[in-house]
Amino acid sequence: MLKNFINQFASPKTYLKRCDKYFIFVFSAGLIFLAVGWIWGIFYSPTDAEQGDVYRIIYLHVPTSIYAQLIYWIMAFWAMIHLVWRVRLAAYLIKAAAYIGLLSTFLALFSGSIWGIPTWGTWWQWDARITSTLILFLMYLGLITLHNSFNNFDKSDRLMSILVIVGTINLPIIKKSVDWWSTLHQPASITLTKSPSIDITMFIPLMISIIAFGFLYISMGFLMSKIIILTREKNKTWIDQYV
Amino acid sequence: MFDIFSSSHGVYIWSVYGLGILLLLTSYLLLFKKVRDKKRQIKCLNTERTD
Repeated sequence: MLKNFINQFASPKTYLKRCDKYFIFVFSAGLIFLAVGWIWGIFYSPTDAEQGDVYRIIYLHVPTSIYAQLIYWIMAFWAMIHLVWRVRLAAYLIKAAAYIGLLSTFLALFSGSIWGIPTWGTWWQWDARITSTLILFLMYLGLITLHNSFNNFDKSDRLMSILVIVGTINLPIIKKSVDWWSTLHQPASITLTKSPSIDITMFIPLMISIIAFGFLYISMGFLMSKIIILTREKNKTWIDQYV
Repeated sequence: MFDIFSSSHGVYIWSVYGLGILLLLTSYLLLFKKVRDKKRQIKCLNTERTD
């Protein structure tokens, strides 16, 4: 039953049709949420008592940091599907997600560095959270480079899936780094188990920004995976009808 | 309302959001272009094959 369910969604042809159908809705939702979240957060949320106005970087830093890690978990899920059921589409989606993860991790590191200048007095510190996030960035970069370096796609898909699963070991380290070690980086302000430690007037635009990035990254994933499918399946007969 | 250009922290905020918007925009433009190019490439291949 599970195999049938996966097969139903695993066809690149069906997937491309769904991408085309839903792209405009997801993309528009992302833009609307981002405009509301950022305008509210940057211009209308109150000034922080300790950090002043520089905390407003949070509306880009937190969503990009969350998705930098979440995208890797999603890649690991697809890697499992690819290795267990040999689903081609899962490998395409891993590659597409790796590019988006790379972008998100870069934005998280960059915004964090800029935030560090006025608050910590330095743009970089080799502390646990920042270093483990840098490792995540290098992992995304490594996976993309490795996959591009192979001529045999089947082999590179399998190798990439294995490496993605091995790389998940870094994710709990990033998450728990602020608790396990003494770091410059503050502990998490938002967790699933406790109520947020930031004021509700700052929290709502932050949640809207997080949702916005979710939609934007999904729409970006649609485009990225479309490019990969068009490249990899270009000799298939159904592609001729599709384009 | 927070004035991003007169605040002492404004430079940090607009540099982060400026680069963020620029990167997101560039990514979308590149992706749209690449999708269009791939489709054209496949159409050319099809024409060659039928000829």
